[in-house]
Amino acid sequence: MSSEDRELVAQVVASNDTSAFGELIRRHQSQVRNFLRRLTGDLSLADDLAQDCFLHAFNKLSTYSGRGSFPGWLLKVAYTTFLQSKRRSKRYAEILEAAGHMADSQGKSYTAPSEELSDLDKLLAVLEEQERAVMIMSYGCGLSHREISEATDMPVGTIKSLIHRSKEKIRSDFAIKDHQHG
Amino acid sequence: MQSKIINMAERLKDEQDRALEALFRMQPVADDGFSKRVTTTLRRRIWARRITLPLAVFVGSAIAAKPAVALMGRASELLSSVPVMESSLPAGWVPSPFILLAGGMLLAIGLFGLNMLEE
Repeated sequence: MSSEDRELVAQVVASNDTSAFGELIRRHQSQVRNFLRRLTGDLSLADDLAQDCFLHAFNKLSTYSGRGSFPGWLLKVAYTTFLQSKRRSKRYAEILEAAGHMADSQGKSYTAPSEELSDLDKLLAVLEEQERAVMIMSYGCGLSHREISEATDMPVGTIKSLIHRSKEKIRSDFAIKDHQHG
Repeated sequence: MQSKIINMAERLKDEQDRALEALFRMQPVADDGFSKRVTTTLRRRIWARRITLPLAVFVGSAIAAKPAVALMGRASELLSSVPVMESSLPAGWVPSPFILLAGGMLLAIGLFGLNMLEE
């Protein structure tokens, strides 16, 4: 964590200073929003989740020990916010289904735009949600395996095997597609 | 030492790693008022949280004031009907039951208020 981050965090924890927290948001909003955009594939949903993430982070800032990196901790809050929102929308879909309605976004967490799919969109669509999150944290946000382990509450070994499995999937899936096209 | 070895192992990247990094590379997202929007929401929530409890106490007290006064009066009547060992106590030592009850209530409200202020 940079010393500026550390000072700002201390200021927020000591006096609930919203201006200092605003500065922390300005410094890290890009990474958090990018992470959630990649994870959800939906810009407006990602920004709503990013806002919730920062509001949760403000309330939980006193629990941040300062040992790991602050961006890593923020991504943990962002990932938890994403999972909670997914659980809520799943419950909502179940209620709608029980009431006899068809839920539009039933069980879908990644809604890649249908037209002009980028290479990354195609690649992310192959992966499961957990794999997607770990790959974005690793290759998109540049977190170490240890930081990802702290952010996702999974052992480092599991993170390594998830990354390995994801890479295998990408390799095999794209090789199959190339073969089909060729 | 062990963590250094782990970090070294993490840094040994193959061609696929580099390709993935290039693919996942993120363009910075412009703030575009996002941080301001979040801090405004945050301030509004803090203000609402601060005002909710005192407001609830005020409204609750206003509603409960009349029945509480009636209750105190009734309790005072009941307490006055209980015989007191007047002869063994100095004159004026025991305040009237009404004052005792009012004092107790004030003490409770004061402690509650102090607790709220500390929070």
